[in-house]
Amino acid sequence: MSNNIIEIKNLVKKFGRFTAVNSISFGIREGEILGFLGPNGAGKTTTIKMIMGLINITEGEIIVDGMDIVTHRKKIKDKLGYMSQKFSLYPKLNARENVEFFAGISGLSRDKVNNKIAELKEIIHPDIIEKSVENLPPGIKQKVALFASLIPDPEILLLDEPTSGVDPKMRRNFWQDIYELKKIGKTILVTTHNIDEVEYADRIVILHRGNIIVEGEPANLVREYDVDSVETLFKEAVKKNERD
Amino acid sequence: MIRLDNISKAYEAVQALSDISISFPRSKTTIIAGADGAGKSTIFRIILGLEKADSGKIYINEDEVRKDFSKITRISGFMPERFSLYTDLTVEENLDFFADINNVPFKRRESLKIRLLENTGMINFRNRRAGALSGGMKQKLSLSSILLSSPELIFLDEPTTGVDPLSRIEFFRIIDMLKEEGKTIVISTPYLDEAENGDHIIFLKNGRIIKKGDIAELKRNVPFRLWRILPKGNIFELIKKLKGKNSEGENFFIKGKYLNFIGKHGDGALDHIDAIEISEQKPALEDIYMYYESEEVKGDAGL
Amino acid sequence: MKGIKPITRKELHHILRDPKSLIIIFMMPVFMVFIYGYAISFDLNNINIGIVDNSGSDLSAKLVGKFLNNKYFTLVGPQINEDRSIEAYERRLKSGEIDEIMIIPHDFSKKIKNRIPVDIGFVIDGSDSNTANIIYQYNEMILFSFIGEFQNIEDILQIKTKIYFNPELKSTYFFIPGIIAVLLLMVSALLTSLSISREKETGSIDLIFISPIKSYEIIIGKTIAYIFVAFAVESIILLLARFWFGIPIEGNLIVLFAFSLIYIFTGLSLGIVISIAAPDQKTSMLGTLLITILPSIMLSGFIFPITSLGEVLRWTSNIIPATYFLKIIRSVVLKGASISDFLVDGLILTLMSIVLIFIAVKKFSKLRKIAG
Repeated sequence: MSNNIIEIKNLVKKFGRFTAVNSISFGIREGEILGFLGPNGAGKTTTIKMIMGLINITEGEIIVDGMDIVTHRKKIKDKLGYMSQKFSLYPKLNARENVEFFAGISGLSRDKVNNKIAELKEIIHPDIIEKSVENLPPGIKQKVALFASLIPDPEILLLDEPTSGVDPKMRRNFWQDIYELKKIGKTILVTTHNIDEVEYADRIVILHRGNIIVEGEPANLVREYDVDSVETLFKEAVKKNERD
Repeated sequence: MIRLDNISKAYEAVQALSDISISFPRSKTTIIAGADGAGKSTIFRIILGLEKADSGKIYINEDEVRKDFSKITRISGFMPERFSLYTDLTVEENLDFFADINNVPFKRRESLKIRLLENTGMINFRNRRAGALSGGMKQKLSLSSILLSSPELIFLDEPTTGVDPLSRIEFFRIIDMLKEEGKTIVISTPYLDEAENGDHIIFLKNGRIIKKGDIAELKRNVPFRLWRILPKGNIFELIKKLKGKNSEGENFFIKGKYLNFIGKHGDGALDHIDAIEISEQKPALEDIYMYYESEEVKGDAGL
Repeated sequence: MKGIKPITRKELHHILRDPKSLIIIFMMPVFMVFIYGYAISFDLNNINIGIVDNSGSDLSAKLVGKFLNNKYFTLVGPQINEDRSIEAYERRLKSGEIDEIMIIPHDFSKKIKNRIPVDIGFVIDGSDSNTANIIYQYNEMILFSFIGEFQNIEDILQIKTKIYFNPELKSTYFFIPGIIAVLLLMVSALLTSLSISREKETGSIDLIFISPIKSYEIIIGKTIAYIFVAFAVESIILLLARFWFGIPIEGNLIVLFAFSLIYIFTGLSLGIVISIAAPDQKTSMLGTLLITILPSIMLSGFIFPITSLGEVLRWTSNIIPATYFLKIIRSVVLKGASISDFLVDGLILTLMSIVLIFIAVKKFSKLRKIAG
């Protein structure tokens, strides 16, 4: 019996004649960090959007915590937090206004919103809390975005390329924050197209042209496939998929 | 051949570059590494005369460039961060257009064009509109449009952002070929794993140079050591324990199942810990960047 | 000069490759022509006029007769025992019973005979500005024909506005040539402003900037490509005007196209100047629409006669290219006028286009040599 909090079975998404996701099946275990790697257009974002219930699934099933996405869309949504480096915050609003907005739509009381603002002030410098988000450095933006996605206290976090454009130190720190979340029991799905980043994940799923081509723990995979790095593994797997 | 001397540039309130002095070794690949907003693009734009520096000097072959940037652009190719060719023109029309405006003689162009299309595997896509190409193909098309005018200097601003991992690997294969031909190449990137492909590196942060130098040499003279620990028990418990005896210049971070430990003095701190495996690692550029970055922060605090 | 060809060729590719934009560029003018041709009718047949004739002379009776002897004006006079004061007429105007009052001064006949300037008063119901404006034009027209029957009294009535005669007084005849003037400027300015701001947005302009191509070659190359498009738009509207709305085109088409070319050039240069100042495509488009459409409609004489504008606006109309082209196109299309009739307007327009293209090239070089 699996203890998967998200179970994806034979998931298909077609846009017209184009198949974005081609019958993929995988699970996300409760409390793990799953790295979701693949080229642009491999179907990563489409899959995340289907889990979020933002787009309909063409075929297959998504079960979150025992509930089917088709019938329990609203309940599932309450369990999910979402963040993407690119679109998560309103660029013209400042960090405080963004947090107030997300707290507002999550239905938090005024007191709780104020608590959240106080928390935010501890995370980022109080001076920059009033600056338009568009003028903040990417690392700070990312911190605010992660903070905002955690406001409804979701069990599962879906992070879509959260580290793009962020400097190495911020990226490493970001991952340390992610481990803190894992420590308190959150389940985390992270997409990336940086191969070197997958080493941070507990388990990885590599997607290519709508198919899963590799799935497993990074260290084990390297051993199993007898390659020197995840990068080589990725190259081999993609080549194989292109042949098939 | 190109040298920047104390270049500074501010946009309104933002200091994009402060006192940058760099040069690019001939026939080598220089990497400008930094996050978004570090000032990478500004360096390119100033070299090419697309922006005016507030202060500082630019030299080409020890000859100062004041107004006539065509001294530089004549022998340079530039690939901007965003795909900047025409999406509604075909691959071949794009190549022809840029060859035309760069005065590439027709005779030389045709044979070179075919060779480039063949080398990049785009020969079958020559009549496809650029907008319909994949990220990797677009990048190769941009590069080809530059190579048509046979530049000595090639400036590539974040050529691999938004490009899939496989195309990135392929891209650096092409870069190596160009280096073999003697081209001087400058590439900016936010990804330090990619920077490993270069000969020379400039670490940039908030418009300032944190460290620059020959990559092989930087790696030979690392002023710290890096260990990878696979803990027996809970990784967070181990961190707590290590934090207790943490001394100056020591640092750790989690990466997957492993705890990475950076020590300035040795592995003394790792005695008596419960681990399945402890192994010393060769620091990557990312680790080296982190080290110099925190040194700089400390330096600032001291001022 | 050899840099012009690749630029023009590239722009033509852009135009032909983007059927959606092409359709918009051609459909919008057609759409507007139909709106002005049909949906908005500016013709009035039943203007109720009240006349206060304080002169009571033969001359004033003649003028009254002029106003009433056509299908446009209907006299609404008070009954025998009703109030004949101006105040009473004003009440009627307020209630909507009448649309305008004409007041003939008591010394009307005397002054005209003695050649002393005289004012004829009109009070027009301004609640519908369009109607009011048309009434205003009709008044002028009838006064004009009244004057025509005397010799040398033009100075005395001091009517400075002239109405180009359009014998049937159909607004379509007036408006369709006018709409060409408005649209042509808008379309040509939009073409270049979008083309340049798109290149700014995608960054391709940087690649052009660092190439050896000259700035003027870029500007000329682009304008040549878009002249074709603007000419095509103009031809379509003229064809519609001639064959759909049956407007007789009296003048020489070659003369018209020659001046259109100058006018289009003005628009294309204006578009370039706007796009250089605008940070992105959106701003560029809104800016172009704002700068080209509104003044061209309001201040060029297209809808409101220039003489009816306030002093500041009247002065402003002098710097609007549409003012001059409107005179030219109306003269050519409606009156069959020859070049000598609008030589001054043509020269001013030419001067404007030269100045604008010069500014465009200058600004463009400045944008390019930001470091120089």
